[in-house]
Order: sequence, then C-alpha cells, then structure tokens
Amino acid sequence: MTKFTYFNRRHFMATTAATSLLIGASHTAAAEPIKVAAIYTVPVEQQWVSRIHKAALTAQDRGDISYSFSENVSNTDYARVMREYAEAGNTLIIGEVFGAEQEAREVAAEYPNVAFLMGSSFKEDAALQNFSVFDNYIQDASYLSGIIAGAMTESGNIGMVGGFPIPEVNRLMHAFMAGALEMNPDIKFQVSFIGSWFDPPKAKETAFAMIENGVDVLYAERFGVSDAAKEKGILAIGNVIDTQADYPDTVVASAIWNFEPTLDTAIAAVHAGTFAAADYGVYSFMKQGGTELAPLGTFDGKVPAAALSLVRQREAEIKSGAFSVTINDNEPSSS
Amino acid sequence: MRLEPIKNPTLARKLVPPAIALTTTIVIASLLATVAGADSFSVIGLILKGAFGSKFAILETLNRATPLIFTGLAVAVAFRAKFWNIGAEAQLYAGALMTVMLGTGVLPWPSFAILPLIIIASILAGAIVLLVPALLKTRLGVDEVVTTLLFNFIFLLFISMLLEGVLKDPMGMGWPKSARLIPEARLPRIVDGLRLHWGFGLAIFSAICIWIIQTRSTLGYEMRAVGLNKDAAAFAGIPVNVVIVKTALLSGGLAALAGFSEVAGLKGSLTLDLSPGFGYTGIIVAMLALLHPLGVIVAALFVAGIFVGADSMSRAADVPTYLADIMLATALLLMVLAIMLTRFRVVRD
Amino acid sequence: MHRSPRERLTALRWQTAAGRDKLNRIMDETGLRAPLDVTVGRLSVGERQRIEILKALYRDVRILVLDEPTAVCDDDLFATLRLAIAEGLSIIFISHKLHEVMAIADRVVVLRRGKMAGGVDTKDTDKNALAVMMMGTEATPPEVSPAKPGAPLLALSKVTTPDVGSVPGLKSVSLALKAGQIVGLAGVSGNGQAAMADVVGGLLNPNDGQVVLGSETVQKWTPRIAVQSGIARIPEDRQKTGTIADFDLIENAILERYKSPAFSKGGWMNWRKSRAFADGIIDKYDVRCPGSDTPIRLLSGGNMQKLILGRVLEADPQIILANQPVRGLDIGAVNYVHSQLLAARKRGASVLLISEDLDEIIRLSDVIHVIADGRLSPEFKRGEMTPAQLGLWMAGQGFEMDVAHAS
Repeated sequence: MTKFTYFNRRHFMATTAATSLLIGASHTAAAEPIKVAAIYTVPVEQQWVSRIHKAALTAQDRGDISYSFSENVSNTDYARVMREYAEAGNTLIIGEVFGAEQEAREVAAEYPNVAFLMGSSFKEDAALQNFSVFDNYIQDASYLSGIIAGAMTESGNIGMVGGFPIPEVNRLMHAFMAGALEMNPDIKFQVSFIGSWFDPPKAKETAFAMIENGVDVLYAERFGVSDAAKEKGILAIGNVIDTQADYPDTVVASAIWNFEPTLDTAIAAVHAGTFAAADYGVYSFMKQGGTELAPLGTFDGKVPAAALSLVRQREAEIKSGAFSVTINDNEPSSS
Repeated sequence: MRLEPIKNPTLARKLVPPAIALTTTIVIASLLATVAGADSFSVIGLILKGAFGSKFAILETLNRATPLIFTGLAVAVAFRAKFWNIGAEAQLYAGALMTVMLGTGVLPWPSFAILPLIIIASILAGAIVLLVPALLKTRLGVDEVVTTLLFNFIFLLFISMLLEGVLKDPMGMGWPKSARLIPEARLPRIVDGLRLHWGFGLAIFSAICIWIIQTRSTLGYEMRAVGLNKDAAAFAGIPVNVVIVKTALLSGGLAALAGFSEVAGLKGSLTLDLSPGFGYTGIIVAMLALLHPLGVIVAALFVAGIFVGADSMSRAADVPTYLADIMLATALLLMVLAIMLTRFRVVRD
Repeated sequence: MHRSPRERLTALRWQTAAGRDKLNRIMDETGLRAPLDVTVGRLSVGERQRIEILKALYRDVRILVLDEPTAVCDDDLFATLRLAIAEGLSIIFISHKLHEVMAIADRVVVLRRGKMAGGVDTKDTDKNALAVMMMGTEATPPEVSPAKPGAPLLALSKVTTPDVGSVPGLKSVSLALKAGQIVGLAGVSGNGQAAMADVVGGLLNPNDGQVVLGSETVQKWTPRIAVQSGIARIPEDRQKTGTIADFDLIENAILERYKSPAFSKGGWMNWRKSRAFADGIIDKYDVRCPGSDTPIRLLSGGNMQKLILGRVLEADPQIILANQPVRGLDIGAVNYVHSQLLAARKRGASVLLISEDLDEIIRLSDVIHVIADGRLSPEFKRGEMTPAQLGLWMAGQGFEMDVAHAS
C-alpha cells in the first residue's frame, strides 16, 4: 500500500497534494505491476472461472500485474477472503459474488481505496465507486452458434440444458434461440434447468430425456450434456469454453468467452487512477473481442455453406454495429 | 490393547498430549507447505498471524467461531444425554429458514420487537425438526443417528425446493436465494465499524446459560443422569423418554440459533450454501470440549482459529488453499486423540 | 461379544469340527452342559459361567481361578469342580460365602485389607472361626426378635405380568406386606423375582390384577409414585440400576427424590441441602469415602450399599423392597444391612426380602413365600418349613397340589 496507493476520483479532485502524488504513482506504476488478487468459489479448472484465470495469467506474463488467487472459497468465507486480500495491499480484487452479493458490497464500502471487479447479476452502485460488475455477455457468439445449430438439426428439435435460470444463462439461451430461428423459423426448443452449477449426472439424465423426445442438437450450458450427446451420437453446441478436443465428433461450435478485454480495461483504469463504478459487461461483447465463435475444427466443411455465409455476414454486422443481438434476461421456456 | 480411565490425571497428563498434538500438526503443516513450495519456518507465524495477528484477524476468527459455538453446544447438550444428534445441519437451516420467513418484511416491526420474535421462532423451528427423530426414538426405538443424519439431506432438499419456489427472491435475478432481511431484522454489530455482530454475544450467553442449566437445574441433573446410566435413571423414577425429548428440543433450538446468527448477523439472506458443514464440525467442537458448555467456546475458537489461520497462511505463503483443509483435518484428528489421552491411558493386555 | 461359544473357542484356527468334538467330550466327562450354537449374549448368567469354565478346560489348564463364581447358586458346578479336581486340576476359589468355601475347598486363606490374615485347612475350622479371621473380631449376626405384624400396607391381588424371553413373569400372584413384618421371597434365580421387584418398585404395571396401597387400588404406577408412596427400594444390582457410577455421592443420594422440595425448587437444584443430606447419610450409615463429592464408582460394594440404604431409609419408608440386599458384601456389611432391615421392621415398616440365599431368608423372614416359574407358594410362618422342604417348593413341587386344593 505504500508505493502504489490507489486513489479514486473523489480523492483526485479533493486535494492538489493528492494530484501530485498520483502523478508520481503513475510514473512508477507504468514500470511496476499492480497487485491483483482473484477469489473463485470453484476450482480454477471450472469453465467460467477458467476464463478469468487465463486472462489474469496472461496479464501477469505481460508484466502488468502480480497475480494471486484463492480457489474453491465457500460463500461463507468469501467476504473474509476479500478483506484479507484488501488488508494484504492488493489494489484490484476480482472474483464472483453471485452468492455473496450483499456482504461483498459491504466489504467494498469498507475499503474505498481498493478496486473491486466482481462477476454479478446486479448493476453497479453510484454510491459505491470502487465496486464494478461484469458478466459474460457473450450473446453475440451465442447467436452465431445458434445459426449453426439451426442449420445442423434435422429433426428441427433443439434441447437446452442450463444450470439456474439467472440472467447470464437466460440471455445466452435467448440469443442462441434467436440465431437458430433466423436459420430455420420452424425449430422447436426444449428448455430445462438442473438447479446446480455442477451435477453432470443430472445434466446427462435431463439431456437423455430430451433426446428421447426427438432432440438432435443440444445446447450444452453445463458439463454432462456433451457426454449425453456423444453417447447417443447427436450434436452439441458449446458455451464459454471450447470442448471440441474432448468431443471431436459431437461439439460443432462453441461460443467462447474472452475475459481479457474486461480485465485489461480494469487494469488500465486502476493504473490511470480512473477506476469507478461501472458495468464491465460490454467488454464481453464481440465488438470488444470479449467473445468469439470457436473454430469449426473437426466440423470444417460439414456445416452447410448457407449457414456459414450467414454467420460471416452477422459477425461483420455485429462488429460494425449494423446488427445487435437482443439482450433478454427473462427465463426462457420450451416452445 | 484397551483404554483405561485415569482417576486423577496430573497437570502434565492434561497438558502434554494436546501440546504434542499441536506440535505434530504444525510439523505436518510445515512439511506440506514445504512440499508445496513455501518456507516451512514462516508457516507457523503466518498461521498465528492469520488467526490472531491483527484486530481484523481476531474478529474474523470470532465470526467464524460463532456458528460453531451454537452447533457445538447443540451437540454437547444432546451427547451429554447420549442422544446422538448428528442433524445439527438440518436444525441450523430450520433456524435460518424461520429467520428469512419472518425477517424479510412480513412483520415491519422495530428491531427490539422483531429480533426476539425471530430468535424464539428459530429456536422453535430447530426444536421441532429434532422432535421428530426424538419421538421416533422414544416411541418406536428408531436409531436417532440414522434419522438425524438422513434428515440433514431431506431438509436441505426441502430448503432447495423453497428457494426455487415460494421463497425465491423476486429481485434475485433468478438466483436460488431468499429475499434480503429488512434492516430491522439484522443483528447489529457489537462495535460500529468492526465486523463482529451480536450473534457472537448471543453464542457466549447461550453457552453460559447451558452451563448453568446443566449444573444447577433439575433438567440438567436429569440429562446427565440419563446420559450416564439410563437404567439407573429409569429405576430412580426419572422419566427417561421425557428427558430425551426435552434434550432434543434444547439441542435443536441451539443449532437453529447458528442459522439465525449467520443469516441475521452476516449473510442477510438464505442460500443453499449458508453452512459449509457447521452442523458436522459442531460434533468435533463438542468432542474437543469434552461436552462442557464453556469448553465449547474454547474449542470453537480453536477450530475457527486453525481454519482461518491456515486459510490465510495458504494465501500469504502462496500455497494451494486445500492445504488449509488438510491442516484443519489433521489438527482436529490429533486433538481429539490427545484430549482422549488426557483422560485414558492405553493398556496392553 | 456376539459370538457363539463354539466360535469363541475355535475362532483363531477355525477347526470347527475338531473343536466341537473336544467340547462335546469335555461336556460328557464333566456333565457341564452349555448350548454351543447360541450367541453368548442370549445365555443366562449361569450358562455363561459354565462356558467360561468349559473354555478353561478346553485349553487344558492346570490351574483354574474362580472369582466369585456362584452368584447364581449352583450345586452342579460344585460336582463338576470335584470331578475336575479328581483329574488333577488345581482350583483357586475366591468367594465371600463361607458355606461355599467350606463345601468346596481343602484349604482356606483369608485376606483382610490386602494382607493375609491366616491360612487353615477346612477340616480344622468352621464358619465362625473363618468369620472371626475375616473380621478380626467375632462377627455377631443381629438378634431377631418376634414380629408384631399389623395391617397390610401393600398388597398384590392376582397380579400377572408378561414373560420376558425365557424368564417367567408373575402368574396371578397375591401377596400382602404387613406392617412390622419381614416377608421373605425364596426361589431359584430367574423364576419371577425380577417381575415381583419391578411391580413393587413401580417399574412394571401388571397386565392383570391390582396393586393395593393401604386401602387404595393404584391407578398410575411409576417409580416416582412408588417412592412418594413411601416405598424404599434396594435394587438387585447396585452398580447397574442402584447408582450412577460417575455421579458423586451427593448426586446419587438424591437420585430418587431430587424433585422433592427438600432438594429442588421451581426446577432449580438446591445443592447445599443435597450436600447436607449426603453428608448426613455418610455420617449416620458409616459410608467410608474421601468425601461426598467422590464419584461413587470409587467406593466398595458395601459402602455403595450403605449409601443406598441411607438414601431410602432416611425417607422413613413404610414399605421396604430389599432385592438381594447383601449380595457380594462382606460379613460385616451383611450384618449391618440385616440390622437396618430389622430396625425398620421394629418401627413398624413392612419388608419384602428377595434373596437366593435360603439361609438369609430363613433367618430374617417372619413369613416366607417360595416363587417358582412365576407362581407364588402359600405363606409359611417362621420355622414352619425346613430348608429341605423349601427346597422342594423351589424346585417347583407342591404348586399343583396347592392349585387343586384352592379350587
């Protein structure tokens, strides 16, 4: 805390002494990495968290930050670990407060000199200037993956297995469905939530039931769904990470989340002393490089050309701003 | 080999085994930390610093100890009467459930009215949850170890159902969590600006109450008699089954207070991961305390201190956080063994 | 302990057939019989005892140590032991019962307070001389004066209770306990004595028939009501049911009456009064202990029994249930307990004495009933029957005649 004192904007305005200090700090900061700590409620191998971890490791390799993390922290301990990292002199703390929202904001209020960038279903709070939120707004790539799914289904019946019907899940499902419907307006969807973030047997069971009902493409929001697809010889669409290596004959396309734009923006803001309450969700948009469609890989040449050209067209339009994917956070239902 | 009780343990007998257990724990922790790439000598200091090294650390340890005091008391009370309540986890959630049912706005009362009501309602909820296994035991002879253990799973699924249904926070963006408590239903902090809430005070108060009940009241006398020798108690005219049911009600109520304290003192709402096994750790706390209510406070502080300290050390020394879990398990195992050795000696036949 | 005797003998090597053959041979030779295919937990005390001896014989021991082996009086055991002695086995027989020692031993050694008080051949001594050696002084059993029986204080009217396993319950038993009288209940263990004690003590409600207290028929019958009705209960097993081993003397002293205003008020214990009560008993009944806050498990059987006596007699009971009151006690303690029972009789209390020791029954009882297979014999006045005649009743003879006579 001695060398890289972080000041928010109010301090900046408050005193000229602070201004001069800040200038001094920025000079050294350019050379020295800032201290970043991450707190994950699951092991870093988990799909969602693994993207954050990867981005942080990249930033560390670049020399922008020094990075430490705690994985598998229960929500009961979450606030305590946040305090510990704040006490330990970290300047930026990232993580996910979906299960500890209120407590996390209380911690942030007590450490106004530390920047918090937290995955959350809620919005930023103007009264809490050092607390920003992010989420994986990767609906752009989900839309594109939906186009491919709509082209690949023969039965016109797509199954979707999700964890919980929360905004980040719902909006990706809606985008995926919209993409599929653009390709084929007659497609029917079966939607189900398993009530857990990690319960592969249950996800598998749910997927099997859908396959029984005539589904031939599955939207694999959770682990276990791709296994079901693989066992029954049907196709799957991935989410957040690319799992095609594990399911070469099953996973056609995946909507990838890149956390780098989000994190790098925050790091830059902390460096510049301009970190403020904001919704970093936009840095997950395709325009920002926050999401992309994974390479078709093993399915190269197996996806209809019409679909591919539509994907390319929409991708260009999304990047140029000519087309935007609707964000719908409501719970999707079967059609 | 068998164990023989020691009639009058010397001071050395009381102190040496726990000291050896602590030393061994530290040695094992240091070795593991070294394997994981940390400096073995700094580990001890980092653990102590993490658990008790600053005002912040001490308060975190006290916060972590609070639910353990409640569940430890619940188990100690029940085990004293040889009623094997393994279901403190379910009773904890019963208390938490009652807290969010009454504290999220249905009763827009001021704190001094709503908090006592929630406390009483939580105690009743926990008591009722344990009443079922107690009646099954006294009426039908069903083993309470089995029923209370299974009840944990059933009750958690029940909570899950409520959180997905009627209790789901309409403002919760779809997350399976309850609505937030109104500010009046929150437990205030003991000192402004410090994170310690009055749940800790309630826990200490409960421990003292239980101690007084056990040593001074007829109920305490009956519970000890039933626990030590059920046949003699029945012969003497102590209504054994009634005492078991009363014990269960008291035990369930105490465990429920853990849920109340966590929700009203820290979380503000109910989620399925409210308790990382406080109900089960309570069993270890009670064993470490030799079922003594005041010992429960010390044991809970010990368990919480080791956990918070080791967890903090793992961050400070940059070793995997799982090391903290291993350390806690090692410490508890060795300490339970050591506490036993202060009262029994091993005799070779 | 849930292993059948056969397994216990052969478990290490599993030569089941050979083990069984050898056991059968031993059983044939000695006449000592035990079932081989039943778990030990379900056997009676006598049968378990036989198994222990069989076990020793199976291992071809040369010296057999028997520590108080005749809690259940067993003449068969003595016959077996004599056979074994004839085959060259040496036996150390530890007992507090002088007649057993005189019957089985060739030579007696008396221990007193951990020191050898003397050794003598049985043929050169008698019971009195041994008692003197044990006590250090002449042991004088209390004098028994003639009884002056009064009105019935407690009566059982055609009481029937269920059988418990192979142990019979009471079968339409009628019995009157009168003021100033000791009623002795003789019989071989396991013939319904436990049921009798439980009914009188309030632990068992009759299936059929009535318990009459004074002139009132009892409606609700629990241990607490029994105690409140003035029944003193000296339990058969003072360690298992009479006391709580880890409770101190104070807590044990008030075990039956902690709810009474003398020891608690409004749900809170009065430990000061309780301690005074326990200290009073310790003084008055000469309980040898380091202090009233000593756990009772540290006391000898005799001192435990004295505390129990004090506990029940200090309430000035009208009815005293004494179930095996001197089992396992040394002769000094035996005399003490007997004198207390006689003193209670003198002040007008009624005593029901249940014992397997026929000598004790005959010496103390004003009226004797024999119990066999849950049935109760008619009452026999003091001196009416010889021990041999009582023995016939104990073996179950005479009941049919009585039934025929009654109908």
